[in-house]
Amino acid sequence: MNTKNIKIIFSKDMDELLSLNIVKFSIIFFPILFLFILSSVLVISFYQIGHMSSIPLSTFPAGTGDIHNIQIFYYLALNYLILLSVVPLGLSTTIASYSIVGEKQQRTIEPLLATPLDDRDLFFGKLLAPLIPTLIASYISIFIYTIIADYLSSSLGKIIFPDTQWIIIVFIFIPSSTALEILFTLLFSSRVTDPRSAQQISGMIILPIIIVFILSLFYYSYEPILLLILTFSVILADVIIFRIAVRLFDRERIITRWV
Amino acid sequence: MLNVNGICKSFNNRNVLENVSFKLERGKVFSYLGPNGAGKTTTIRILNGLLKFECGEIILENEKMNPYDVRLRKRSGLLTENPGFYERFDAVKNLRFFGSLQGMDDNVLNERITEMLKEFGLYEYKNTPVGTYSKGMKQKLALIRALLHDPDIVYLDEPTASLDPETSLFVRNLISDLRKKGKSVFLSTHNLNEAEQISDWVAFINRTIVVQGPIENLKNMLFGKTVIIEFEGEREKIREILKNYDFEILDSRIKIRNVSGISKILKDLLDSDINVSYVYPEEHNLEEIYMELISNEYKKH
Repeated sequence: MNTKNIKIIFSKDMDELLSLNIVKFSIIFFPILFLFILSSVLVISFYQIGHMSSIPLSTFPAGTGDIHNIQIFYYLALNYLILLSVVPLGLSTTIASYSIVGEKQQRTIEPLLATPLDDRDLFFGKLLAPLIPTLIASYISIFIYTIIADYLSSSLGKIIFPDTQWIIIVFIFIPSSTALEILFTLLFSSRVTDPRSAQQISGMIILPIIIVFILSLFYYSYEPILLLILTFSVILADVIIFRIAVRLFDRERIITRWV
Repeated sequence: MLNVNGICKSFNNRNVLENVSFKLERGKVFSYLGPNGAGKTTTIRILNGLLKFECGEIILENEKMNPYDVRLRKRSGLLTENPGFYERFDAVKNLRFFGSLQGMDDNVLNERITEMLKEFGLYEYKNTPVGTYSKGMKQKLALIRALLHDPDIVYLDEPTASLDPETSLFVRNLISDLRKKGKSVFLSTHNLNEAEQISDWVAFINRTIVVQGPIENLKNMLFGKTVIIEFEGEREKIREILKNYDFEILDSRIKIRNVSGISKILKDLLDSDINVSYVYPEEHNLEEIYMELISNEYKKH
């Protein structure tokens, strides 16, 4: 792959996307919204844990044994963190679809494909452009959430994040699942007449898959190895879908349907 | 420079190009004419690696090209029918993007952008978003984009369609300049007057190449050499003198077709006291050739 061309596509798309008010709004608003909701729930949970004696033991799974307040808080904080990973998924679909719709609306796809640009470089540039701003926005909200969680947990006697699970979720699961979402949008954009429907189709296919992954994370989040296996399967899916998307990228179909 | 041998193309089992062959020579302007849906834009897209061809071959500088060949895209500059630009970006940003993708060095690219914006009269608008440009300005910017990397072959798809006369003249002069610089220009157009003024070679396409050649040859091939003689004198005498020729008398003019030599005819007329005031060849323009070809095509189908 030609990194110079990837960088050119990425920079252009970033410039273009960030000039759109709807994209700027989405990047700022949704992470703040989710951060506010999940942090509030975490704070409420923290004070609930303070009144633990009022919660009957039957609330917890059988055989749980002795549960310290810090363990309960950790479990909740980790699961809310997983829920926060939904933010980049939603954001990336919106941004990726604007990147594609822009090429169609402005009729730039023909002059773009007439350059010596390789299809893989085009795809990779188009993948990175929605991925990077989405991750930056999401990471800011995750780091603020982490500071809140650590501040609260410190009063229970321990700083809970970052730990192995946090690192896997934040630095491997979130980027790989977001990339998968974007790749599906790109894959369908070259197969359908209207790029907007690519967003809808990819959303319909990817979201159930991601939800299954997120639900699985709730169960496996205490086991780093299982969490790693689950996360690396998403990375494997990224590689496979990238190859399929490049192979199925049909210049002729795009030129004849979009131009 | 570019040899196209028998290429064909179909969409949904419908043939849009059949056995299309031509040569594009260095420093020549090749005009590609035909009705809507004749396959002009499809040909240009194939030659720019945007569509694949299904049979035949494309040879560029003695090298055989594959469908979607990147070498086709590196050597050519394309003016698309719709000059698509990133409308929120200014001219410089748009040109820098496309020039970089052509592999141009940053310094060379910046110099070239400045030089061409000045040449095309867009320099003072260089920082204005392209979305605010008029159609003519966009077309000029699209021409700059097509020429930015100094390609050997320039493909122009309807370059003057719906442009004002001044911008159209600018485009025609530009094509002439490109020819002088040794560039090959492939011009797809409906503007027959324009094609007639600047073409070295003309091809009429209607799914396949109906006829091609230099304009003068096409005129002779289709209409033969026709001479008009303006006269004063008796018509009966003229009919007698010209009885072995294909002619007709229109008011005070004689129209003689397929003439190989005029001196004997003139001598015979003058010897018979026919007063000849003017002799000139009948002129046919490209539009007449086009209409003749189109009517022949309709008759065929």
